[in-house]
Amino acid sequence: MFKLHFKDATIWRNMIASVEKILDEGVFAATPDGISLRALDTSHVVMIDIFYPREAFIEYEVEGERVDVGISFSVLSKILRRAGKNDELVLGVEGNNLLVEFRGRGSRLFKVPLINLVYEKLPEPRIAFTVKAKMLGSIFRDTINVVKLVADSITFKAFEDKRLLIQGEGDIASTEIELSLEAQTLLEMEVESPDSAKYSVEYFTYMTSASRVADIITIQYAEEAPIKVDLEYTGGGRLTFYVSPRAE
Amino acid sequence: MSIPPELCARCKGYKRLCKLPRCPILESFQAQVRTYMRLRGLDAHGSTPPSILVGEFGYPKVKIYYMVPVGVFGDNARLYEDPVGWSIRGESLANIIKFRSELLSGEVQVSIDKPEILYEKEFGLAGLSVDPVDSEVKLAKPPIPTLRFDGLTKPLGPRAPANTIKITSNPKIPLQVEKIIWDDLKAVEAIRDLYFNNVDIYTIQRLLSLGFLGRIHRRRIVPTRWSITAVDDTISRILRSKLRGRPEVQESELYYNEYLGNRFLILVKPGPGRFEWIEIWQPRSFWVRSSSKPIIWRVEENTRGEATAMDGGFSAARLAVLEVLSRVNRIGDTIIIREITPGYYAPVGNWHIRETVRRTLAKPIAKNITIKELKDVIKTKIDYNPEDLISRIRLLRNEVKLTDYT
Repeated sequence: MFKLHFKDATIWRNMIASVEKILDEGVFAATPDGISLRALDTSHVVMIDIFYPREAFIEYEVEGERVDVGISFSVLSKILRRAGKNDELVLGVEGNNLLVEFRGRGSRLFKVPLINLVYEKLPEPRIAFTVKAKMLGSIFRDTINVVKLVADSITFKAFEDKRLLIQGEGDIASTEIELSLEAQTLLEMEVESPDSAKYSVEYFTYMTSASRVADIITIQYAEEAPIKVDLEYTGGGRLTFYVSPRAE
Repeated sequence: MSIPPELCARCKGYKRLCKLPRCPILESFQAQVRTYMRLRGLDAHGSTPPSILVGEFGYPKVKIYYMVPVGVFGDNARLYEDPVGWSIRGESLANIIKFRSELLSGEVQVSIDKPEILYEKEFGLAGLSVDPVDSEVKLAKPPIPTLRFDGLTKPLGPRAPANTIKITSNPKIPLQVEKIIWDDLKAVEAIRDLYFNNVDIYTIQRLLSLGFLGRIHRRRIVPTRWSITAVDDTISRILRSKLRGRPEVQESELYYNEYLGNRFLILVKPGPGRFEWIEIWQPRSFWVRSSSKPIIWRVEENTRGEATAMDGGFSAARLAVLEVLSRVNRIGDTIIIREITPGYYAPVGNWHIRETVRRTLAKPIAKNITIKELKDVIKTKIDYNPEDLISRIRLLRNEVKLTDYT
């Protein structure tokens, strides 16, 4: 038995739209606590970690210890793109198919074949972060959209006075964006040491759909180490990206 | 007005980044090339190899150029459009230009949404043939004796509007092609079918451009230079999706070859399937005549087939690499360095990139080489500072992986 009923289908629509850019396929593991997914992209540069607790669902039924749902994200995303503003989402399994149902004005049901994939529990990367900044989803998205216009790399620089400088250096143009507590563009900021780190902006552009529906976004990084981007959703859901630093 | 050579290396007469209506480099060059004409009067007889070009000026009303070598019939006509043969025989640039300048074009204007006209008038069917097709072209006026060049397509010889074009022998159409043109199949599916039935890629390009592919009521005539890259990209996407999830190549292999003043150094190494394309335009080579230092142009493509720029040359090379990887059923990261020397004094189309890369990949010159060894190879093969070149290659940098942090 596997049945999940979720209030706002557009959240899943936007989350999976981001995941689809990084992973071809993957396994959701549904346990009595909630549903999760952790996977690496083919080049092992990006990791995705999703957890949605059972309390976030209107209805959450999972039989036994764990139900594995292997899925192709391009197929799932294509279907979820049909989700409208007032649609609720119901997921179920029937035989070898995933059932995706939108309930809004009337109901629409899709059947997607499940893929036989082995569930692997990947360890979480262990990184001693030195900088932590919290901001609204919209600020994060705007920042990425600006940087991607001019550059293919993005540099984060933290200062002791709780400012975060985000720089994009391109062939022709460059950009610099300052976020700070003072200007209220940051909600929280912790600086253990004023470090800077550089990443490919490409991976950040993949996060923009997911950040559209996120309430709060937290970034954590350290000098020449991976960055962790946490997207928080209503009901306690969380989508985390880890991105390796750019090799120079 | 002076146009920065960096712009030209990126544009290759194709994107018109200088905003001029026609590429000045191509215009000044074509006037210097002599054309050879055997035409007397206005009636041209000969066999089309087949060679039919769809122009793009005036889209959606475009010109179709139906080409015949005057007085040359049957198998002898094949020579005039034969990318695979030219490449295998190592035909010189001078000879290729000579062949093309001897092809006479009869022009017909068509609307791109009326591909059925090509079928009704029969001469479109000549484009599907695997053998040359005898033809009669009646011109409306004497042809202009020029040769027009373009970065993607083969040079276009003397031309004049045609009153009538008739084919006088039967085109030899392969069975799979005959079948597919009547199928109500999306163009992508049709291209997949043809490719896996071993129909030659140049035939597929012609089929697409002459409006023989696609859902029956939605077919279009497609300008040749668009159809070339469309076919390269479509097949590459298909090959990529078939390779998804395959194991990586076990060792790195280095390849080298040169043809028509173009040098190719290719490294295929274990990796998830990315591409990096680096072009080095030597001073005084075709697009960068005015430059005193080499000009570098690069394209990167990630594992999902998303490239940082559209580039017809890169598309052609990538297809050749994916064909080889598909044969061994493995994935890998590929670095392609293309050096263009002044020996490439006229652009003759991107076919030579596709064919040279195909031939280059036939046999590696080294396996499992270190960066130091690669430097030594670059020193002997490529006329560019090896340290600087290697430092520019993203796929050679030590990459930090998340798995290093567990």
